[in-house]
Amino acid sequence: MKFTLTLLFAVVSTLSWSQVDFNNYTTLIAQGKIPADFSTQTKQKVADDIRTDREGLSKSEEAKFLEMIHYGIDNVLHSGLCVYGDPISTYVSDIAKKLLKDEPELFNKLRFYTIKSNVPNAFSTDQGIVFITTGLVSQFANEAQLAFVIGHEISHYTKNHVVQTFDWNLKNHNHHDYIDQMSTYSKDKEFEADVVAVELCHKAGYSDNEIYNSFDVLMYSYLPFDEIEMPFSYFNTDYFYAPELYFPTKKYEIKAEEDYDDTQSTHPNVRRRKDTVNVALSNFDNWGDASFVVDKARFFEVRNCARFESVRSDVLEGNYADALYSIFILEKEFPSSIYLSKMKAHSWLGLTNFKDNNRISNAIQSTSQLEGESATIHFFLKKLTRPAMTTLALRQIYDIKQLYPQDTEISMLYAKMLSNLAWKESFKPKDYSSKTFHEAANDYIAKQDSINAADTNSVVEEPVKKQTKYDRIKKKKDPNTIESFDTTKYYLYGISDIVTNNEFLDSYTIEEQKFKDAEAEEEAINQLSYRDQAKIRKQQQINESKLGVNEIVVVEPTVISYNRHGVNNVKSEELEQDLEEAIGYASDLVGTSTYNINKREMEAGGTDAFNERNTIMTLLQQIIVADDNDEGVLPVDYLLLQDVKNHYGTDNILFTLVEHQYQPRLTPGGVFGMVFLPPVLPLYLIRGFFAANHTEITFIVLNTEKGTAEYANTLYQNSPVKKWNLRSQMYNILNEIHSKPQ
Amino acid sequence: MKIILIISALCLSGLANSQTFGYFGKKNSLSINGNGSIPIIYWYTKREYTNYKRSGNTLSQGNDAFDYGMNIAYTHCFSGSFALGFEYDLLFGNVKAPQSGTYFVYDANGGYDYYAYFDMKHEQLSIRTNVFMPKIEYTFTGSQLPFGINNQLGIGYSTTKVLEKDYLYKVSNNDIAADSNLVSNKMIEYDELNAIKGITIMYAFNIRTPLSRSLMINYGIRYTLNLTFSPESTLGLSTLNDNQSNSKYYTNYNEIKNLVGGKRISSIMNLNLGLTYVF
Repeated sequence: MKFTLTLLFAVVSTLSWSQVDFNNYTTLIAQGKIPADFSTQTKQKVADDIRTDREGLSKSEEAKFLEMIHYGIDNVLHSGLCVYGDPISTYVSDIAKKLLKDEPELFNKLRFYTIKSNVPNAFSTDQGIVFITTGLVSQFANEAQLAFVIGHEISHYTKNHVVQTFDWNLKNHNHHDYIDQMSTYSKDKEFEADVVAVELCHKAGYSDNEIYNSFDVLMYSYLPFDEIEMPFSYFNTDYFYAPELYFPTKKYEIKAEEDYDDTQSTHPNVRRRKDTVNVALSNFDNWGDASFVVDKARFFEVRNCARFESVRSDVLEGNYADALYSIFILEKEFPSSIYLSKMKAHSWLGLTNFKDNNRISNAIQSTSQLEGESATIHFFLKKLTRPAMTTLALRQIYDIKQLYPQDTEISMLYAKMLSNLAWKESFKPKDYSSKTFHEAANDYIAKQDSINAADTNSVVEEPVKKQTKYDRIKKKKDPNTIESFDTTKYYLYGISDIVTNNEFLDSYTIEEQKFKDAEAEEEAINQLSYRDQAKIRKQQQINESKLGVNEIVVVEPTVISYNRHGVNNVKSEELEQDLEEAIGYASDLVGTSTYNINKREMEAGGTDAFNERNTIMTLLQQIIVADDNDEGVLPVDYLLLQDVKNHYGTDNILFTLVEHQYQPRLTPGGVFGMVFLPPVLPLYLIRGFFAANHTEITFIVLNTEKGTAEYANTLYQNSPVKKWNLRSQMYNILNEIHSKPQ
Repeated sequence: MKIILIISALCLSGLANSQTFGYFGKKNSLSINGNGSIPIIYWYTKREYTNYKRSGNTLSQGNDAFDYGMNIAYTHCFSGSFALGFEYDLLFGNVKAPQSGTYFVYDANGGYDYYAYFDMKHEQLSIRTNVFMPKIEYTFTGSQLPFGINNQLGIGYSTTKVLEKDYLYKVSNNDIAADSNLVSNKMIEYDELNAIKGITIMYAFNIRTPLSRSLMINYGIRYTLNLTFSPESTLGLSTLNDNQSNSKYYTNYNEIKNLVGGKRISSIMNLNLGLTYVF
């Protein structure tokens, strides 16, 4: 009976978390019923949260506090990066349950969410939410270390540190040495949270050694999630060879130290925290020795999820070198992961775009920043010339395409690469050798040997005599001759199989023809008179804005209304509703069908709508990072975006942002000055009060199919955000994108 | 807050320039405005004189408190920040009347005829000004014309006419027996006085607030520099005979024109309120 129960428990436990297929990994999405944190309007949350016993805050202070925390946290919840019910959040929650096994009421108050970000961080809020980033989870060596961090964040909540810090700031922000005092105050809170976390971990049975080691995780979390030496041969294949001289000749030391200067920091340095925790650890006897209490297998699965997300985050943020290093590490465990191959292709495509746009420094670290093993790839990428980068990117993406010829996303990535190549004047297949580097090198060596070995008069003189100067120049230019062999042009021998592949050449020719057609069209325009040219350019400009959009997904508009003290969140939220109404009014007038994805209506849309919104927000972020208005990148969540497109039947998504500021421009000096020019005083006053509105209305239309921003425009308005103003501006924009190009 | 940074960054990249402007895409507007001003500067510049205004059937010292008028304007937007338009202004005001005149004394007995001067208390003259003015509307801080705040600049042609009506006046002279009673009559044949021409340079700070899909309320302040052309050199005209003495009063039209010019140039500011129809 006991065995049966144990078996049943084991089965139930296994069923409660499904194993992740890392070979076909897809990014973390929210799962389950949407929590109230995500579906309740912020204004409502503020109203619901009013209490009378909040740490001695006055009524107005409490209102300010609630506005700050709720609007601030809701920005995080709806950033597009936050998920709930996913394997990481669930696992973190299960660890917290262990930590709080004696305090179930406290546990029930808490919610745990994951932020898909490489910034290694965890934080808790006064609302009882604990956030943890994938960047931090990816760094832990075991569950105990993660548990200590969760315990630390729970302690911040139980000790009311958020509201206490707010209260302290209110009372001390005018103090002359505020920063020093704040730093000390904040550090005290951190020490307190560490001590409570130690107690929680002790109760749960975690190992004291691992708790102590948690601080190593924090100290080195700025580095990639592992330190594995990358061989110089990593990019070499049967066809491609990168000489070792393009790799670093020295190791780049890791600079982080425990005892750094923390006088201006909110957190104590690692040395001091270790000392404090050491004392706290010694307060308890009977320490457990468990590195894993909840589940070891789940920990590694969750950590791998975080690491796979880390790759995706790097791609999204344009940290392509870091992404490639992480892929290198993960490929050892998951060599057949199509996800990693896709991310690799995304990275190489992104690198070529950055290189072409002279923004490669965004993707790789400067020499002074190089640390640890990942320095190898940063160093190597930095050394790559533009043609070398293009060639290696083609090599990598082509190979991935050969591995997964049927995959839609990879085919799209390959097509983008081809298109990019066709538009590069520097890339010509005929410039590449049909030999590999080693074949060419062997031929070269053989020739040198034969020259050295043979009688120079009888063997060499004869053919040399038959060649003209021009023959010799041509030979040097022909990549397939021995004379042209040059080790610094190693990349010319890296795609010998590709440039001789008819399928590739046919596809390339089609893309190249498109480029030539566009070039011919441009040339034809240039031949016209200036007047006709101007006319055509004007029409082209007009047509760029006319998208012929009949259906569009409208992501909830954002309004930021500033007052003298900063953002007026309450007014902003009210104006957002006005803006939504204006979009609805204008779309009816124009005849455009709109489908709303609205963070304020998440309860109705549920988790599916929430995930769709996250996917769209991710696309927006990627487009910004790529800063590429052509079709150079492919959405990192390409397949999820196709789902969105299929759901709504349109691939157009509208973002609207309104920023409004009312800033009267009256000064006592100005008014005094008007004494000397009394007739101008009324104008000064009227301008001062009425011309004080500054409104920027920004519209962006994203195309989910192409992964590009099809339209982006900002309208400036010197009047307040009012119903008819908004309706008019919305009408103009929707009408413009609704119109068909001529 | 991240979305703000994202969107702002994208827009800085200047992906597309919108070709759209106008209010609901409508670029033409027709405005009708009332305007008014208190001629403080005119009072100030004429303070050494005594003004008279009608109080029932008598004259009393003082100024009429208000100048008023209306204008109709048509504008067409060429972009969200620039428009061209044409404006017609009709303005009414008051000008201090001449305070002296010439008296031609005719000696019926064959003695000397001679000129004498007299003082006059004359009700302020009503004037009407028509201004025809092309103008531009522009805005540096927005791109939402025709609504919102805009600046207007115009230069126009103006004609000012002294209105013909029976003014109340009284003349007096210590030497000559003259009518010292109030007279409500045409002392001067104003319709023989040509319109006084000039130019008007205008700057307006104007605000249009939409009320519906085609109607806006329009308000603002406008400054004008009103210049009148110099009057012809020798204008003088007998305008009234004294039937009893066969004497004639004369007044100098140039003086009237100068007074009108003084009034016009001192009218530098007024406030506007009206409606704009957008189509």
